[in-house]
Amino acid sequence: MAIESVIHTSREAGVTTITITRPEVRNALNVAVLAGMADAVEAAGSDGETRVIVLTGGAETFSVGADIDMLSGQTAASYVHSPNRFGFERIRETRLPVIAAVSGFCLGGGCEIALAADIVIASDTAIFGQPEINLGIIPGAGGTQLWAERAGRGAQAEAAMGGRFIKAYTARRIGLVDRIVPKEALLSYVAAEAVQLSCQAPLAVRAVKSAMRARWCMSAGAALDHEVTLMANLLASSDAREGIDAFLGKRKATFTGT
Amino acid sequence: MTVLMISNDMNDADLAKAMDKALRAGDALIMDGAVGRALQTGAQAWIGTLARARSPVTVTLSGEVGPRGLALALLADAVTLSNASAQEAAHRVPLLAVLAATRLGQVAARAFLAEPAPLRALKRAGVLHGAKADVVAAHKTALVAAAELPFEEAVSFAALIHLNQEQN
Repeated sequence: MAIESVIHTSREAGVTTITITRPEVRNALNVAVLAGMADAVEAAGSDGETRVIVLTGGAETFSVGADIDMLSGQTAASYVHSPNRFGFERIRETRLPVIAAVSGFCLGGGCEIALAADIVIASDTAIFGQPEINLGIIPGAGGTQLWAERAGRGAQAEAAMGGRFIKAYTARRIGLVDRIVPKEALLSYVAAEAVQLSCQAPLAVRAVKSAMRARWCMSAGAALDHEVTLMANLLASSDAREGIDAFLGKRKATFTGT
Repeated sequence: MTVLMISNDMNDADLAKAMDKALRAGDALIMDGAVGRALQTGAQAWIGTLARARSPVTVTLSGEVGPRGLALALLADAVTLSNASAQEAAHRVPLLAVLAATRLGQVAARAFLAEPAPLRALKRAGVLHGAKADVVAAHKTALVAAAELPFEEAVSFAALIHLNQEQN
């Protein structure tokens, strides 16, 4: 299956939007989708223009999760080295800020992609869940970690062990998502938010992401030290000088990412 | 418009499934039929579905109205009565107390529970009205957002509906 037929990528005003386009199977993930998304995320990270990435499945469905045959063909040995496993990692590892625009079903691997974003904006029709337990397996791409990051260990356990789905407003209430918007306005709202975020100082935004993600692989003390290092490095940037000059001059700063 | 006929042998799981299917179509939903059953714990599934429905929901109460019918009435956007009757105090159950407090407000919920006749309690609470589906439809998502989101987020939600209507 050609990647172009299952992923659509567009770039406008520093925002790269990556859309899953398999509506006939409610945006189910297969190797082509995962590889296509990962390629598009990595390309955005190195194109020198993109400041923000938006991941979406469009206005109807984010993704119902992995194609069942993507899992059934795996063995214990093959899964660890499979392109789908690395696809999730490559998407998660981008240094750019990522906004997930979620509508309708956001299940399994789709949910793992969405929750790995820095900001999750959902429509009022969104439904989140990790149903893998019902197949006798576990979420294997972040679904045993990412709920806890946002909504706590209880929500994590209920989702991953219970396989229970939660709807948009409940997701908002427990902190799983950051904003609920009307389904009809989801894509335009996220586009506007992404443009706004793209106007922030790019180096500083990436530094925030790096500092936040540090807790995934460091102790709290090491992450705080990492934050100090990031801050110190930023003080030498043109963006920091521009930001301070603009503040003192009472004008809007223009950040170049240098 | 989708019509869902409810029967007394329909358990809560069946009712939840039927509601989900009907609401997925996105059309206005009209519910009619037998609504005399008691409320059991399984009712939580369809209560959540109905409380967050994006489409307008109309309920016709007829015959013997039990706690299930009263719950449907409290959750619906429009309610009509047709040869309906209800046993005294049928509305004095915990699930209905929660629904009344959520839908009518804490003060009105107390008045609702204090009135011994369930149908009169519904009438006095202002629940029995035949709001037009198209009028409700235009405001349904905003009404649900107001019930579910903190005030500022609900206002922001409604503002996006305005913006979207202006742009289209």
